[in-house]
Amino acid sequence: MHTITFYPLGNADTCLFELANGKLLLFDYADVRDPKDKEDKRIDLHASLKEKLQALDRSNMDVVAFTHADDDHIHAMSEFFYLEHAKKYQGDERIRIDELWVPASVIIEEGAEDEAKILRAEARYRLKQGEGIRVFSRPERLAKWLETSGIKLEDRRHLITDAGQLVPGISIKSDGLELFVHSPYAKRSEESIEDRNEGALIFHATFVVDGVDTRMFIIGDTIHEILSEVVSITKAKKREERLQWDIFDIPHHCSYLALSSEKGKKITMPVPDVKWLLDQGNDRCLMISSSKIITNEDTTQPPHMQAAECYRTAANSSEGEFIVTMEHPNTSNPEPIVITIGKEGPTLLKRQHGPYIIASGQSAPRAG
Amino acid sequence: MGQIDTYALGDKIDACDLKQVRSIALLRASESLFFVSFCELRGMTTDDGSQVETIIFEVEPEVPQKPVNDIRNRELVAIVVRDEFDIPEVLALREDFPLVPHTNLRPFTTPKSLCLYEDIEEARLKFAPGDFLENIRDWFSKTALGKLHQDHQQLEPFVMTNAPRLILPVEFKDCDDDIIVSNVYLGHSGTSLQNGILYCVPKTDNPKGNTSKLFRIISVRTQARKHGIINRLPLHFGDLRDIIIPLGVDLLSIVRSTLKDVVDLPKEERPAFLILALRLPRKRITEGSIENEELISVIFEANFTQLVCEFGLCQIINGELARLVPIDENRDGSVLKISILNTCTAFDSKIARSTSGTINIPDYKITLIGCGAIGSQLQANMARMGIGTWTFIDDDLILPHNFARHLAMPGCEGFTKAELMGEFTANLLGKEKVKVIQGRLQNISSNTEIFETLKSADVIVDATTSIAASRELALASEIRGRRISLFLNPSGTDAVLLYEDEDRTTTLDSLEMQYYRFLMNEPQFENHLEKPESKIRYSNSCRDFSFVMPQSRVGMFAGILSGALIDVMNGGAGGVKLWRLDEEDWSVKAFSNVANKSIVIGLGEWSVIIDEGFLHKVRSYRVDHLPDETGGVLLGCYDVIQKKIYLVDVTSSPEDSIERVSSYVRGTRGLRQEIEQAILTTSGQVDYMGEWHSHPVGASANPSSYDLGLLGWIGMIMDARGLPGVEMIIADNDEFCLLLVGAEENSESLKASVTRREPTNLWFSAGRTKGDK
Repeated sequence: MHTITFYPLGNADTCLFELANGKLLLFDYADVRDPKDKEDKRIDLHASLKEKLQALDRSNMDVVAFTHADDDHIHAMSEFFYLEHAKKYQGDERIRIDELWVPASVIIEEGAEDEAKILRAEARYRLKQGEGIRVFSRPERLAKWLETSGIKLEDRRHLITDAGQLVPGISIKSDGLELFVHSPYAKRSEESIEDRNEGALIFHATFVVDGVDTRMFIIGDTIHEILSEVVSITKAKKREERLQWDIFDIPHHCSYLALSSEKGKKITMPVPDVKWLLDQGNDRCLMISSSKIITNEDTTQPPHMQAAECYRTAANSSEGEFIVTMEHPNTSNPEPIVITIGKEGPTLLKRQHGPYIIASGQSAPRAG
Repeated sequence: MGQIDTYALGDKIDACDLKQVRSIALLRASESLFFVSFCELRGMTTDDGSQVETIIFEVEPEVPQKPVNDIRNRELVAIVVRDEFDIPEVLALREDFPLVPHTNLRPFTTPKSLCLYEDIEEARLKFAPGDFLENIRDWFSKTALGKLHQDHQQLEPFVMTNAPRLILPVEFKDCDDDIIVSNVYLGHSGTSLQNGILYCVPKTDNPKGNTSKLFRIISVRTQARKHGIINRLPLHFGDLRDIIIPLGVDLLSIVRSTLKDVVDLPKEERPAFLILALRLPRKRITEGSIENEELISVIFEANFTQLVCEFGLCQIINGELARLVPIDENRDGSVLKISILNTCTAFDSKIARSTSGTINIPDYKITLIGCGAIGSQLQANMARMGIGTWTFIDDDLILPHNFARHLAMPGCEGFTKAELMGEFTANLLGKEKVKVIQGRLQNISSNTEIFETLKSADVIVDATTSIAASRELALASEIRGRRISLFLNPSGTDAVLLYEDEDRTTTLDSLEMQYYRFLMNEPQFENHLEKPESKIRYSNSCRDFSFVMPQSRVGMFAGILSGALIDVMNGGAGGVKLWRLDEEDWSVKAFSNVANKSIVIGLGEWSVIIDEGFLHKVRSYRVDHLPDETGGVLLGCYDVIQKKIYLVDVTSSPEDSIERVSSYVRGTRGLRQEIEQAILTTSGQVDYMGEWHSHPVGASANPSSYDLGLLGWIGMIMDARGLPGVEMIIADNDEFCLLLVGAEENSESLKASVTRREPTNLWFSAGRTKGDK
């Protein structure tokens, strides 16, 4: 049985895969909670992940993938992880990354700041060393940068994976999972302006348990133009099975821009290809929005209630569920969304804690 | 929610209209639950003025994408509260709710009533509204996974009704035929057919009194089905017939046919009622194999007259029953009311075994001699476990004082103990498992019935507590069954089990001697055979004395002995076991000794019986004292009738003995006390028999002239008792020599017999043996 956990981080993303064979794959890291703010209901990601790793008696992740280098996907990562490239990011209490996954833009892009800069340094270091990294891109795109570092592309080709391929090192046979790369794909990557969202990682995961498939779309931030192209390219290559899904990781914190350029008044109408993609959800599918609470009000920033309405409708039409991280199980005390994957397909866990669990998890008010 | 209106749950009401404490509690609890949301309230008033309140919730169970059963991620339920303390009924309101296990059958197909708890009584005690709502959610979640059954759990019954109502005779269940019809007398424990239990009258009895009536029972086997296929409770025969037809059986033709067989019977022979016992083979999954056969019984709430009329065989003309020829096919009994009787089968050997975990124990033929306190309770244990085909021998009458410790109860006075055990076992396991012999074990060969019976037994259990009976049993080699003797010591603190090996290489009498040796060498068993002070007179005959002993002890020992007996029967070895009870903390300590092979040496008319344990002890004494000779006193006992001399134990050499390389003079220090202690410990069974000594390395066991002189001295000593004395010489290479004195009636005081024995090549020269390998 595999387990997927989405962490309630407001408009930020972190998703953990725990595979049946024990492998841990982390997609994005955003420890955005403000410890000084008692009203901040976002989870303390640093503590939560640490606790989980301790319980497993581990101090490493098999894979840490940063879908792109926006802050809401990498926030405070340099305080959590053991980074190879500089001693100041090293120490026993830090979590090691066995394999770092990044889109090419993280390596190539100039002008990165703060965490993005640190991530870039780490990625570049690992690529130079030639181990512990996988870069997603058309390989030639990295040729120039590699040259400037005195490395032949041929010597690093095995660490670069293009769209349309399966990620090496993860297989159904040994892990019960395979990951198909949708993006970055060639078309966009040749633009000279490297817009982060457009160069972001998009995977299609296929989990297999006892011969039963569960498919998941892992999307970071993206816009409908990209999704449409992913759909049309994949269709053209006759690989539509890579567009079917049982779990949909809703892009960009439920922004309407991932559906259409028009927000709409009550509901966003998705562009045809994206609509088609939404229809590829199997019955009783799950759609997860890693976002703040979605109200009935129109907002400029995501999550947009019109987009939510679109996704909700799609979910309902296939007896599925639309869930928001900061609303699960309720808005006053959000908890990580946990989905187990077995031979019955995915199950969204709905656990009601007994009083003793709640009581033991909180410090009692002062007495005396 | 128009759908809810169709279920007749009452009118809409508000929270302020709620009167039931439990409803209010449920509503409140739901507010703190994440996955249960309140929808609306319904209420209606019953005839007695109370308000039945229904709370409708939307429940979000945990449901996988591909559930085994079609449970949705949101289910509407109605919780019907009727009073303060009962578990509310829970109804799944979805119209197309699937047919799943663990639902209560109701006369309607929807809404489905969920069966949440296996133990309703315990659930009532522990009821908490929040937990209850979570239990409902859990029911859905587990049902979605098909996991409401654990794999080892029984499949759910066809019908979940209340307490069992019919105890069905075994032959209606365990039969190969698809249809069996028979008349049976059933007793009834209630006041009407609507209550109480119908039970078959015990096998060994004829029907007594007015309480039993003649029932006609039809036992029908249907085709196999997957469990859970039936979705509503049949109230009339027509419903039942419709439900069963898909299982390949038309009940109408079966009932008509059986009524045809009895319709012409005279009034006194007619059955009073008709019962249909349906055997429904079932599988856990459609493609699976048949898991077991379920039994559902249905009784027609109609008497004979109503039955034959409603099924078209007769009609009433001028107050009389008249046959209809041809049968009125239109009258098919469909309106006859039926009542489902939850059925269980009567007790029998098979059930006894499966419920006791003794299925794999072979069916031993056991003769129990002596059915007293221990014997009766021990046997009762085994009978309840379905073990054994029994013969009972005990002609003792049951008297009032027995009720303190015997299986018997008041009402049994005047029966022999064997008769009582026979009836008890026959009632449990069937007559064929029992034989009763009135008699006792005195001189086996003369009573041929007992002799023949014993010959066919696998195991002969002696619970007579009589040494004489025990010894007698040990003989008779034509009787091959292994003897096992069990008893408590006189003060009831210890239990003893003497058991022969299955080849009888060591017989009960030798085991008895080995038991004495054990007692003599275990200081804590010094008092084992002591007779307690207290006695109670029950009548004026001195044979009716009984000791004071509580049933708590007897029952416990009977339990231990029955368990140990089964183990011993299953194994092949022989031995001696003892158990001692500590009445401070009720702990029991066990002592176990493997049987030592016995050796019989003929000397003239007498046989001397020793065992390998005895030889081992004596030989090791010899070795310990080499190069000098050593010796001591022989302790043992006589069976004068059988002319047997048992050598049980030896004393060690007293401290003041003179031990030289080629001579030994036995001293006296502490010897008298040692012998007296042995006599005391064995309650007089064991006594002085003679002397033993060892020969040094290189010498044979042949008696020297000094040894013969010693023999004469022994003879003088024993003349006063009038019994033979024994001298034993232990030498190198496992050689030993036995000398008997005063053995023949008109003999000299010195006598040594010579015997040659083929083909084992052992030869006894004055009982000398050159190793017996």
